[in-house]
Amino acid sequence: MREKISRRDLLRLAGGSALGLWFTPIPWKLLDDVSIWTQNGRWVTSPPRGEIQFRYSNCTLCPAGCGVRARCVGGQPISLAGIAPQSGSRGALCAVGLGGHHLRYHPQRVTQPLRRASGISASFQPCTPEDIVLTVSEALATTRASGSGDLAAILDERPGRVTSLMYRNFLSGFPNGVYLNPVSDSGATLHAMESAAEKPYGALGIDLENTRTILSFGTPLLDGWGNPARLWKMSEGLQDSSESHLKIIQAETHQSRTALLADEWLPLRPGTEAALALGLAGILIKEKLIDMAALSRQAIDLEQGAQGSFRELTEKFSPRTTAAITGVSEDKIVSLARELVQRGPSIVLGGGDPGAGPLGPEEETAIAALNFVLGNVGRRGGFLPRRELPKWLKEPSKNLKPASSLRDIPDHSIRVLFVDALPSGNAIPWTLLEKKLVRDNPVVVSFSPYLLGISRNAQFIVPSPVYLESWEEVLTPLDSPTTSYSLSLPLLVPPGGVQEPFDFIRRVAVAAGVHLAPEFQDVSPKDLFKRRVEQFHRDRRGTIFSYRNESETRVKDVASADSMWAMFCDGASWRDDPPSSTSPIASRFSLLGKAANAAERLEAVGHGRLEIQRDPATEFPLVLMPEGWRGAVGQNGLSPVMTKIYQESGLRHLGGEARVNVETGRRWGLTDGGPALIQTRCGSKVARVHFDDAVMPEVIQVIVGPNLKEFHESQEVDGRNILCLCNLDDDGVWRVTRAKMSGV
Amino acid sequence: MDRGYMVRGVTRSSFSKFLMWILPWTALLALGLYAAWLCFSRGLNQTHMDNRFAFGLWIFLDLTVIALGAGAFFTGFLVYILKKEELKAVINSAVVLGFVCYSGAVAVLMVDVGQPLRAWFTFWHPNVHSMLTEVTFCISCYLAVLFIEYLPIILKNRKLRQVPSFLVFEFELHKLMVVLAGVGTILSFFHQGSLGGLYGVLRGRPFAFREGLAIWPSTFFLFILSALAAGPCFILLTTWLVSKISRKRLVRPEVFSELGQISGILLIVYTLLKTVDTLVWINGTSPARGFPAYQYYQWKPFGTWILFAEIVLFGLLPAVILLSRRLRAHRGWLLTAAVLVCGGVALNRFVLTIQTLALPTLPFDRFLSYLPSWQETAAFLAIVAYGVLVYSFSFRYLNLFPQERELARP
Amino acid sequence: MTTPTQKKSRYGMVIDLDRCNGCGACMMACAVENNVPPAHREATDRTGITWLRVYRFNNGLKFPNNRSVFVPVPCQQCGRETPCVSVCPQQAVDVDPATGVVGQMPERCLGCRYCMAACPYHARYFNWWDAVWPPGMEKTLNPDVSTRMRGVVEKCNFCHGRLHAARERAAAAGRDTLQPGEYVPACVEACPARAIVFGDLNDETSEVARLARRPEAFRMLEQLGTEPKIYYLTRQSWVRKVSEDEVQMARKDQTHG
Repeated sequence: MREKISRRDLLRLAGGSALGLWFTPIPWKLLDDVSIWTQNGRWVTSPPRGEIQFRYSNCTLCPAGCGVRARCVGGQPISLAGIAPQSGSRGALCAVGLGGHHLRYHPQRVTQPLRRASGISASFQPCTPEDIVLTVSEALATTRASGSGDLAAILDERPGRVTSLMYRNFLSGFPNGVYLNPVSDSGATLHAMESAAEKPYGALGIDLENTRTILSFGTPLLDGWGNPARLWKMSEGLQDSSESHLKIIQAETHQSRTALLADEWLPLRPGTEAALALGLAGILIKEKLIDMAALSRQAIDLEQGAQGSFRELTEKFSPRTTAAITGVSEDKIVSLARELVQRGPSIVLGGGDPGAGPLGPEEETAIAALNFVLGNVGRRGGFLPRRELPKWLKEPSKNLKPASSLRDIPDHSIRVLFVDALPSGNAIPWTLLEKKLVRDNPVVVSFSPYLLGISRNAQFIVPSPVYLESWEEVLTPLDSPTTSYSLSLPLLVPPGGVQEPFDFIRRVAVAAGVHLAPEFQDVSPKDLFKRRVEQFHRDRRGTIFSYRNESETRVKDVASADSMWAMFCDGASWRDDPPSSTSPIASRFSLLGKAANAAERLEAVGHGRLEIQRDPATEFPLVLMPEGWRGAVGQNGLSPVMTKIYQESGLRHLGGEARVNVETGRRWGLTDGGPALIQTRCGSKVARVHFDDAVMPEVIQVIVGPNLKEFHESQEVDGRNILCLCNLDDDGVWRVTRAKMSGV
Repeated sequence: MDRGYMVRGVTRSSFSKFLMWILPWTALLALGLYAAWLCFSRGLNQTHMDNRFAFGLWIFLDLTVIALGAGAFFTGFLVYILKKEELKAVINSAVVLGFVCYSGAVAVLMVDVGQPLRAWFTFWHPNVHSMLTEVTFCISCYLAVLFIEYLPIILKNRKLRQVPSFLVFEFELHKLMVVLAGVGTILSFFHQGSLGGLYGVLRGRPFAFREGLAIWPSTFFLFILSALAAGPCFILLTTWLVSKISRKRLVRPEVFSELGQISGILLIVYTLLKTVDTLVWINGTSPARGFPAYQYYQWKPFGTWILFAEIVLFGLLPAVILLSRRLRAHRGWLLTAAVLVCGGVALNRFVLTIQTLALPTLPFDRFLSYLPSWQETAAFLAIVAYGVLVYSFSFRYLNLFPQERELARP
Repeated sequence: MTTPTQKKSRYGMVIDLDRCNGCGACMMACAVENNVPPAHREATDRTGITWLRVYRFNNGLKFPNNRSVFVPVPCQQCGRETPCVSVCPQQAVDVDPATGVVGQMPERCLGCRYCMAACPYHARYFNWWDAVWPPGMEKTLNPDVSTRMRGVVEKCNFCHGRLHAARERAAAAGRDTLQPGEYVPACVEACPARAIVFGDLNDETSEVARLARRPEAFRMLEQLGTEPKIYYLTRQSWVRKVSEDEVQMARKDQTHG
């Protein structure tokens, strides 16, 4: 056996091996590994690992301030849920809130101060905080100069916080300082009633648990208003035949999501809310369906007041006239008025659409008056005053600028405007602010975590922390009859470069030579919150609900202020004791409101918003009506995962898109899903149109919401949204605008 | 210059002319390969398919070419099993066509799936209940069979024959042909049927769902029959086309007639069964599942005309032509019928793939439309180009039509 | 590890359509829980990934008689001849006999999309793009759920990660069965309207079984015979006809073309 191994043998061996290899596990194992490798390559994102724990906070993305349970991996929140007993719904949160922990990574996030390069459409470039402080303090100095009518203003969309007090204190250092209330007010009905009282009631809340009927003039009760968990709980028997359940009657032009679930929907012609409210009040008074003696006793101007006679005014809105104005049938109006009494306690609410803005002072007065006529203030199932938060600061009123409404500010008067970051959930039309700014070089500083909304139009952006990156206060939701308080906690450390608005204003104060009250010096907001909490303990009022163990403790039983603070720092909310009695409140009220020429203005608007009446129907035959969804009106960032709702399902339409009735759309030569040119006196814009028979004919419902681009990185987002097409009434109302539309 | 590689006794165009012919096809193939590369590197977002139109042009292409490629196994069956010697004239061409169709289909499938690297999972973790498993197994096996059938044709090339071992190998392979034809027939029966079953089993899609025999829905059998009918017609058409383009007489006229007649017989059976199946479906299967059949035809452009076209225009009409000796003898009629048959099979596959997915099932669904992207179209055309190229080379260098030499003699 | 569930469950849902206002919280919670990436820039409603998708559907009448309903559609978890299971060539889809949940193994999936063509509810979604999160956001992913890659199919599995977590908790507490409410998918938890009730349909006493027996309950495309485990509730008769023939007529008016 001494054979020489030839080349042929080698080849044979190789060939045989190659063939034999396939009968071994090797190639198959290799294939298996390939598949595993393709699943675990660098390009496949893998979730983080670590200890899972729960941390608690409160949501600041809208004023509802829901309690939040954050599931965390190594301290990093990976999902958010509501606090089950608090919300009464297993831990529900709204879609916006569910993505709150993503906001830190928003593609439009700003982490360093920015300055506008030049002009309105130009881009932004990084700058230093000192640059901004310098420019701002110089501009502030000019407002102080004698003879200058220019104003220095802060727009605070979430008033009542410690930071708000600091703003007011800061502004009191300027003779021309103005502290501005939110642009639109979700609780306008409540505030209209508060301000119509002869002696102040204080803040009003709703005794929803005992209400049987709500007539809502476009208030999005079931789509983000007040405390949503409470409203959902109360609405459980909706469309039920039972007598006891809460009945919602939704009066508004288009069929909103609330209208869809409501027991009844009354399609109102655009801008005719005042007529229906006055018409209903008229029937109640004329048919004496209510306690007339009590009304005469309490109302200053039922028969004759300084502003005229409310009764006379309502007589001008007979059921027939009202029907002609509103488009609701005469019979329906009469039966509705009777139902409000028979199915009482019934309350009337108006406005609050986050995109449509205020209903208007006249409508708000008319709705408040209807509530007064129904005897709703201070009664069970009606509006109850709630107590104020415990005082913790010797608030010397001369050191705090009182709040003003943007409506009352003359045009072209604001030289320096700060816009606070914390969102109200409502839209702010840039045109509304622009109108109030001086024409030459106004300075607008936006405290914002994102380059979105108003920030896009500002001169400076001071990067502020996002939700879950800072200490923040959560105050009572507007509908609540009991006062509450909780804190939003920083579960994450903000990126370097981020500035608290509180700290920034303090820097400006130093540069501008304003002496802040000692309470605001050398402290952080957190210190001030702690002082507030200590005051709760001193007052021994209310109960504290701890999120972690879902237990309630009476403040009286909490051992020390420090242990109370520790509870707040671990996620808790304080709730005042319920009011001891619901006896009617003695204060008298004015049905026509306190404004000058109230009766005349109310009568004029009663025939429909002036914008509707103004234009001959031929030039702008359609009506443009904006609509929005709380917290998603393009003002602030939304989680990129919200693309599921907007981009990947069309469940909600994107900002700038329009809905029109099918027939209207066809008549104007449009196609479903296609583009259309919308024109108003204020400008024009191309919008994508959706045909939708839930929209009244001749109406264009435009969506105020996020832009698709803002979800995707490094995309330019237009700062001038669809609201720039809206006509701004002198009273700051933009919800109806004459418009026309054509195919593109 | 390449004379030495060609079949003895036949003439082919000059090399430069041949180059001019293949150049555009090569370009098309290159474009398609680029499109496929885009799909591999960037993902299937390069196509216009979506979650609702999960299948598109490519699946339609697969189903159609595999039906047309049925000529290969069927001719093999006729020649080697049923001993229809006269069809030997086209058997080589049929094998090449079959190989082109099947390999093209498999190639496009590899682009069509989201994770081609996992294609072998089907063999590793097969789900025996899935029609697609059956299709995958049969097609890959049959492709191997086709390759083995193709091999001797290649090895008979004038230059390759000079290698003695090749000649031996070829000779040995040739003895296998009967076995291969048998295996091919069984495999083909199954996968042609399973391709039909693919849609027939979709109980969630009442438009496609069919009751059937045992585990096979009726479409299983209809697909076999329609493929059997279309195969010979496709061979007939390609042979005629090649003879036109090359300006050569390739087979005797009787072969055409023979192919036509076989197709005609099968087609009439198919048309009959298809009619019965449609009636059962309209009156039973579909309404029983909550979908009255008339609804399907209310969506433009898919009106009832499509049913008429499928059964009468592309079924009964060509069957009658092909069965009539007089009409069949007329070249024009014969070719028209063949075109109709091939078109009919494509239409049938189109209806099952595209119309099924376009039709809504949920009450809030919409009727959907789909237009392939350029990448899909390019990949589709590349398969055509690939087929043309493989066939062109085979025709130039291999003996596809044994009768050509005789017919070329003066 | 042993599986504590000995008894065979049949998990299902009852969704009250009269309480759904299409707020989208369920879709959001679902995506967050299951690590579904944000939409690719070019994604549309036909190429996106929404394990739970809320559709809006209307009665086709003119204003003001037009009425809409929002219909949340997760995987319907078909219980009989599950259309997607039998078609998968490589057993990437299965029905868990212990829970009745139709599972999808993206790691096994070849991406042939045959199951998508088979599903009458369009509840299956293909990864047309690579899953990409904005920088940093990958830190917010749920460790209980692996991410998927391009080219595979995925769908609702009743939050499988939550089932595992619940079983582990139960096992740690020495129990071999889950108590009602212990395991709840993310969408159920997130619904502010409490429109979704989840539980074991085999448990006659459970709320979900009780609601499913109500006369207002129906299932979509019931006549297909696939025994879906998602029930819908509504008192609006036009909505209930969703599973019946008439609607098929009505819907023609809504679609043009």
